[in-house]
Amino acid sequence: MAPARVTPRAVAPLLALALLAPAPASPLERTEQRAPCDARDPLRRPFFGDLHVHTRYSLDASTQGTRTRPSEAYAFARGAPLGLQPFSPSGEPGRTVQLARPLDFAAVTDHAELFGEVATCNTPGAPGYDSTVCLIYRGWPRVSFFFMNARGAPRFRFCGEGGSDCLAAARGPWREMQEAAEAAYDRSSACRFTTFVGYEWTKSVEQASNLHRNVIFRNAAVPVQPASAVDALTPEDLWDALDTQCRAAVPGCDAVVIPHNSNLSGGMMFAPDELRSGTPFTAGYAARRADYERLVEVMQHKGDSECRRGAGTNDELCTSELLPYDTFMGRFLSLARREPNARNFTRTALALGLAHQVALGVNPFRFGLIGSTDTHLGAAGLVEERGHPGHGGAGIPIGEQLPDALLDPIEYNPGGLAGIWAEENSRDALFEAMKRRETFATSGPRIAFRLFAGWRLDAKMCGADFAQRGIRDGVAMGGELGAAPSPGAAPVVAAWALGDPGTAQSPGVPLQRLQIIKLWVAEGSPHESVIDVAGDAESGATVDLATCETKGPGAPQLCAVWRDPDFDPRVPALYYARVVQNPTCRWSTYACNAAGVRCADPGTIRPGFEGCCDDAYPKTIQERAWTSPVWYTPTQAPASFAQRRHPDGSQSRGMTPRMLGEAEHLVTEGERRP
Amino acid sequence: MPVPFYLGDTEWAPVLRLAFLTALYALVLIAEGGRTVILLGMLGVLQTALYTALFYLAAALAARAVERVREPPVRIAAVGTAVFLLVASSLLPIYQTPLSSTRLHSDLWHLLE
Repeated sequence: MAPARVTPRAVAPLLALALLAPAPASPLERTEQRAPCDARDPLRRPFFGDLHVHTRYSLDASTQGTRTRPSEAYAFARGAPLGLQPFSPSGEPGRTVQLARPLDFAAVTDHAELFGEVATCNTPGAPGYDSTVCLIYRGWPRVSFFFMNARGAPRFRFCGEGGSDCLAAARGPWREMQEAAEAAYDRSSACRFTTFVGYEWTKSVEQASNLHRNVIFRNAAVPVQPASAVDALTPEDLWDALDTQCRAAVPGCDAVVIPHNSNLSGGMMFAPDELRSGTPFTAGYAARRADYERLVEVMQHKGDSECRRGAGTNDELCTSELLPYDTFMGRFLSLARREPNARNFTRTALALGLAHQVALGVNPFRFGLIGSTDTHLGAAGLVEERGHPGHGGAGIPIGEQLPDALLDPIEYNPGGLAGIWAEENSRDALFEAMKRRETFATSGPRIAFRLFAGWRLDAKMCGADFAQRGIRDGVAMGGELGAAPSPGAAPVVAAWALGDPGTAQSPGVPLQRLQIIKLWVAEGSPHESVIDVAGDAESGATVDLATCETKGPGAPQLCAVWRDPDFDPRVPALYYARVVQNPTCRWSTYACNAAGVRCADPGTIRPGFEGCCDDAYPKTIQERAWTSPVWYTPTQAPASFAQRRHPDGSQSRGMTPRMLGEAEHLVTEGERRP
Repeated sequence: MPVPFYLGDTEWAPVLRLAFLTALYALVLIAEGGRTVILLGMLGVLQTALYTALFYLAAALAARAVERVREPPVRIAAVGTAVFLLVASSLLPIYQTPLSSTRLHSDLWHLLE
């Protein structure tokens, strides 16, 4: 069946109505006391937020001069202005930023590892305040950034016996984060803004390979202390800590764990073995991982982790916001710089998950997708390319004065946003949506993106009752397709993207094309197929690099219904969607233009702006959004997965994820198949 | 004379700054220990020793060359020019200092930031 192409303008009012149309109420587990929301939509609405925000309590933020408190980060997310470094001696900020549109939700997720150390070094009179480490922290913060970040267990000596002083000091910031989240949470019936208590578990292994994860709690019922990577050394230890200190210890406590920056993990984030034991996954391990790790952050300021062209895929759009190294070590030490391979990317993990499903009966990589900023300025949701103030953290030190230079390493970007489809803007509703993976990611723009899949979806469902039909006849993204109703049946995938309308000062950019991405495993290899289903890749839309003015046609929204023509009911598969905008200027192009850099005139390339003319970094981007997948799991393993005999004489059921890892690539079946 | 070195981040600065940063890491090493600090401290000591030896050698060769100059005015001019160039280069903000907490480029006056 050919994909249904739609005329965007014609369906615009209908699709807008689709959001508002009534439908039967769905049950929602309530775990907190709050006023019922006035605006409650059983068909669910898209909410935009940021689940990855650092403030002054993160070491790397504080050593970059960030003074933002959690309460200020939440106020910023709600639309208040925020002062940024450099600060004058009297405390006046050198810069002020403000969101043009408030967010719907946010979570402050400071690094849990050094809460106490940072608080101690900033609190006169605290035990350890006068220690050598704290003196260097205050006098030469950039130097302390390296040796404090690299410190694992045991804690510094100034933290006292067993780290007790720092652990006690850590309770202050942790309490402040909870209080700030509570104060900013709108418990009135207006339901304007939702906060989540959270933190970042910041573990790195082998050459600073990133295993970082954000922990987001459902409500105000949280552990007494966060489980940091100093105390919980592996992801398995983190889940143990959440089991014992949250779910079992605090009534009503629950959490989701969100891995991020797999692009910097040196291939470790989705490795086929348990980190703690070094043994291959078991079904129990896979189930536990899938239970906690329901989402993955696919986009943030340190790059796009979906895929990389040349690293396991030929997908022509896997070229955006990619880092040239695969670990943090590669960021700071060119000798350790390695080009990222396929194992660093979410698309590979999603394919590996299908193989794990076959081998174990459980898929440990059953991820919904989100984006966020990972701002280290406390500037939640600040994703504008124009005027990007840098992100703090591992970026360019600001110090006492704004450097006459690009304000972020050229390879970084402003970051993305998390999208959640939920009935209302409350903690319970948003958290339930995260658990069922009904989420989407954007690289910054507020593109509302939705996907349903089913066996009987109507080819003409791109209309007013898109959501009703999707819910009635299919499953929402994040779900399981279920068994085929009859031989010869094939999955039908319906995706709808509503472009970001923007603001009066900064109008939205039209959408260029909508794609369905199918992953499956067969004949010993993971496969992918990327299909253009709406829009026009050859529309001729361009951007003037000198003025950043965009030109050419595009769509305010795109919708398509696509039936899988190659479906094999014996083969596990998944489907997700991606939409891209017309080309626009990258943040660095805005900054380089503002600095008067003209690459043809070397005299205009001042120190600090060399990146402007580095051809390794594009001048334009195509902002984008991704839905979470819908999975198809066959009831019986296909013949190609039947008993295998290995060279060592052992046997296993089916194709193992380790074998997929050796393949290191996805077989691209087709691109641009309209 | 600025030299390139690595101490957790790559810098281009006078050896004096390298020695200063090495001293900071040494202080942490004494107070706290830790593998990373040991590594950074050792890197600092090795690079400081290397550049000190190189500069000592270069200075010795330069001194020997100056000794061969017979006319005192020429000898004074050569020494003066070398000193001027060294001081002038150290006053220009030509040093890349990613380890600096306050600026990306620095000069001799901001050696200890």
